[in-house]
This record gives sequence, structure tokens and C-alpha cells, in this order.
Amino acid sequence: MAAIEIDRVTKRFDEVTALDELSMTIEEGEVFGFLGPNGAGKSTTIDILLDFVRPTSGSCTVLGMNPQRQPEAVRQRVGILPDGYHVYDRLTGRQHVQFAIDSKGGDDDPMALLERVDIADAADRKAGGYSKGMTQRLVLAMALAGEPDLLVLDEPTTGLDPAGAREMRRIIEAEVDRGATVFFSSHILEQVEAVCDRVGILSEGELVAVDTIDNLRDATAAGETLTVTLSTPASESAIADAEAVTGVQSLTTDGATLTISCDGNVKMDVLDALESAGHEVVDFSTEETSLEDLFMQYTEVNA
Amino acid sequence: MSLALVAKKDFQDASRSKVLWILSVLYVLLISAMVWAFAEFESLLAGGDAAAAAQQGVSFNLYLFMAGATTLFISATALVVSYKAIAGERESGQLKLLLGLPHSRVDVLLGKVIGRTAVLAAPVVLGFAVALLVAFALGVNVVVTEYAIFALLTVLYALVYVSIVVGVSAMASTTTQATAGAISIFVVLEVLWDLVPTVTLFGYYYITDQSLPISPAEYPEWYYVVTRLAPTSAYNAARNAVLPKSASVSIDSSSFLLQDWLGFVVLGLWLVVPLLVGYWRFEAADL
Repeated sequence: MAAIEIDRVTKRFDEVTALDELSMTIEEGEVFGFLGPNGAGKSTTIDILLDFVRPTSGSCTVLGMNPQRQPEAVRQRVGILPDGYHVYDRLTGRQHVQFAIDSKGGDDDPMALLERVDIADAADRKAGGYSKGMTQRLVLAMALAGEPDLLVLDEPTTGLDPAGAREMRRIIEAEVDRGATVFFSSHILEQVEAVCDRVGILSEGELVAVDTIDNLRDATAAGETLTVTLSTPASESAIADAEAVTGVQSLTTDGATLTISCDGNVKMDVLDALESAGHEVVDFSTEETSLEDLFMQYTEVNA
Repeated sequence: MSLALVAKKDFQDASRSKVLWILSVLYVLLISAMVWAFAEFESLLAGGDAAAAAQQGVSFNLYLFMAGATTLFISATALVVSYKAIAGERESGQLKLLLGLPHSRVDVLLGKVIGRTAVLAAPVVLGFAVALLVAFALGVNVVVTEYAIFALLTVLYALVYVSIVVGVSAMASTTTQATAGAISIFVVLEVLWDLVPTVTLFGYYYITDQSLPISPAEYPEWYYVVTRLAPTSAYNAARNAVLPKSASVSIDSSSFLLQDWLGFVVLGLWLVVPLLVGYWRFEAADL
């Protein structure tokens, strides 16, 4: 059974379309990285899975249940580290974790959870006095309460230093070993790269790529980025011709400079296409595409 | 289970507010002062004067004195303690932690009402306890069972007020809206609800060139029917239904619409309706 199934979900806020017919499936037991720049719709997707926000159209299931119909049953089995949360300033760390445990009807030891996230020494201090990183650890401890089948982590490394981010990764790995599915979002590629089995890249409310890290790496290893400088800004027809060349994946323009990602063996075809469209090529260079470039290309907003 | 947890956590959190403690101390002082004032008043009116006042349709007892201070405290404190109960958590993101756990939105709404009522009930019970000691010390004659019923009724009034404020808070999507809502509640329920009928009545007498009745007891029935629809007046009517009658104006309550027990019906409506409307909006909201 799929841990998360999203079927043509659209969400519009007034005039803004935050998600546009998003469909994807996350299998049980996998670590899925949800990538995209800020504002791509990652948090909206997560909010819909948890019934914080209702979809305009489409449907989804979480652990086989519809969150719109059975929100409490879904959240009973999901551990959540949301985005844009705020803790109860006047309650202590221990009270927060105890509340999460009680809410799930679990029998975890709150101190053990606080030790896992390394803030046991601050257990009896009021959470209002915690630093950003400590607060993030506290909410992670709350998410771990009750051994959830699915962990949904929205930008989990926000506010963590590199050591904290490493610990976060260790905790994710331990949870997966226990049998949990992990769905986490990030706008930082390297975090996702380090732990994820598969990634989905979201851009402007649409899923532009879903694949394993290895496949994405293979796809990009063969490809390259071609930068072409023309004597005059490229005409629309020239851009269309260049994009039509077999092997070209994407193309962006900045005045007279074109950045084209393409297979390794088509650069001459692209240059030919531009010249036969009436342009003079002043300069060009090629570079092998890294995963980072790929991410940038996928998520770049084409003006 | 879930409801009790949310209420308990809410009580833990809200009861740590300093404003609440300051208001509570003020209330204990105020209610004790009212008991003292009543004791002084009672000795002033001892004997023939009391009978004369009763003749005029006016009767005073300890509960009337205590109710004045209590309604002021509860209406103001309910607003201060509860107006951000839902809207504030929604705006800050605390609601994402709360609703990230297996609680329904109904649990959150009702849990808040119970939690905040408990926060308000604590100073009320403390104030009543201190006031009872003051009454004993000053030799005021108190029937303890009546006193206990009055305390229970007062907690019910606090519950009603908190429901109104939490209901409005659940309708608001920002704290700015919630603040405007809270101020409106106070202005409408505590000021306009009495002021508008009074101005209308006086205007009516003025335009029709009639003289104002000397005793407010002779005001037309509709005037009292309307003013008694406010929660505070309903609380006073309900008090007269279960305790020895006492009011600054004794009106003829033979009319059905002026039966004192209707105060409980009005309180019940104020308890349920704002919460239902608040729930209806909150349930459909994107957080």
C-alpha cells in the first residue's frame, strides 16, 4: 500500500493557484524528498495531507485514509514537523512532549524523546526561551512520539547548524530502520541528496520531476549545459527552433545569452539551429550538469 | 479524552498569564469590598428603612452586590483571556502543533472553551471563598447552600461569556479581526444593549410628549424583554429565579416574557449559538 497518494490535487487561494493538478505516490518505507524553491507549493501540499488546508479539487490518501474525512485517524499515525509553527511559550519542553505523547495515547518516556533530539538538559525550561534550533528539535521530539508510521517533515533543518542537520539525518535513518516512511520537504538539495531514496521536484505548483537520486544523477551525467552568446538578443523563432532540437531539455534566455541543458552530443545542432534562424554566435561554452544545476533548471521560473 | 487533554493544556498555558493574576487579585479585592459595602448598607437600612425600600419595589441582598462586581470582572476578563484563543494560535502557528496531533477542530474549540472557563473560574471561586470569610467576619447572614448555588451560577455565566468570545475568535482569521471582535462584543453586550433601548424609550416619550414614568418599574414591558436578552441581564434574571429575589428595579414579572427562569434559556442560547457559528467558520477554514 502507498503511504501517500495524491491524485490531481489543485489548490487555489483567491486568484493564486498554489497547486495545479498535482499527482504523486510515495511508497511505504521509503524516504521521499520533496524539493522546490520557496513558494513552489510544498507546504500547501503538506497542509492538505494533514487537513490544515482543503483542496479545491482532487483527492489524496495518507496511509490509506482520506485526511479530509478522517483527519484525526490520519494524524494518529503521522508524526509532523510543520512549517511556520509556534510553540507554547509558557510551557516547558517536557510538557510539550508529554502533551504529544498523551494526545497519541502512547506510553513513551518524554525524557527519552528529548534525549534523542539532544535537548534533555533543557526539558524543564519554558519553550519560549529556546533558540530556533532547540525549538526545532523539540517539535521533532513531538513528531517522534507514539512511533508514527509516517513522518512528515516540512523544512526540518531550518534553524539547525550543520551538526544538528547531521543528527536530524541520523534520526530519519533510525526511523526508517524502524519501518517508518519519511516524507520531507526542503529547498536545499544536498540535504535531500544525503538521505532520500527518491525525490520529487515541485515548481510553481507542478511536479516537474520524480525519480531516484541515482537516476537523476545518471540523466545529468550524460548531459551538459551549453552557454551561447549571440550578437543580438535571440528572436522568439530562434528560441523555438533551438528548443525543437532533439536532445534539448530546457532553455533559458538572458538578453543575448542562452543557457541550454542538453544531451552531450547535440551542441552543434543547437548552434546550427540558431544560425539558420539568422543569429550570429559570438561565443559558446559547455559544462557538465551537476544535480544542483538540474534542480535549478527544473525550478527556474521562465519569464 | 482528546477534549480533556486540549482543555488541560490550554489551562496550563493560559493560567500562566500575568494579566490574569493581576485581574484576579483585583477581583478578590473588589468582591470583598462589595461584601463590606453590603454589610455597611445593611446596617444603615436596618429596621424601618428596609421595609420602606421594599415598599418601593426595591430589594437588596448580598448577591445583588456581588453580582455587580462579578459581571464586570467576568465580562472584561473573559475578553482578555479568550479573544486570541483560536485566532491568535492560528496566526502564530500554534494551531499547527495542536492540530498536527490527533485532535479534531471541535476538540480544539471546546477544549479552549473549557480551559479558558477553568482559568476564569479559579479567581471566581477564590474570590467567593474570600468574600464568604469577609461576610462571616462582618456578621452578614449567609445561607451557605444559596451562596454555593450563586457560585455555580457564576461559573455558568463565565462559561457563557468565554463561549461567546471563543466563538468570535474562531470566526476571525487574524488577531486584528479577533481584537475588533472582542471590542465589539464588549460594546454591543455591555453598552449598546442597554443604551439603545433606553435612548429609544426616552426618545419615544419625548416625541409623543409624554412624561417619563417616575419609577423605572413602570417602563413598558418590551424594554425589559429586550434588555434581558443580554447575557449579563440574563445572569441576573437567572439568579433571581433560583435565589431570593433581589434587584435595583423590581419589575412585574407576571408576564411570560419576564419570567426569571427565562434567564437560563437566554444563557443557554448565548452558550450555544456563538460557538456553532464559530465552529461553522472554523471547520471550513484553511489554517
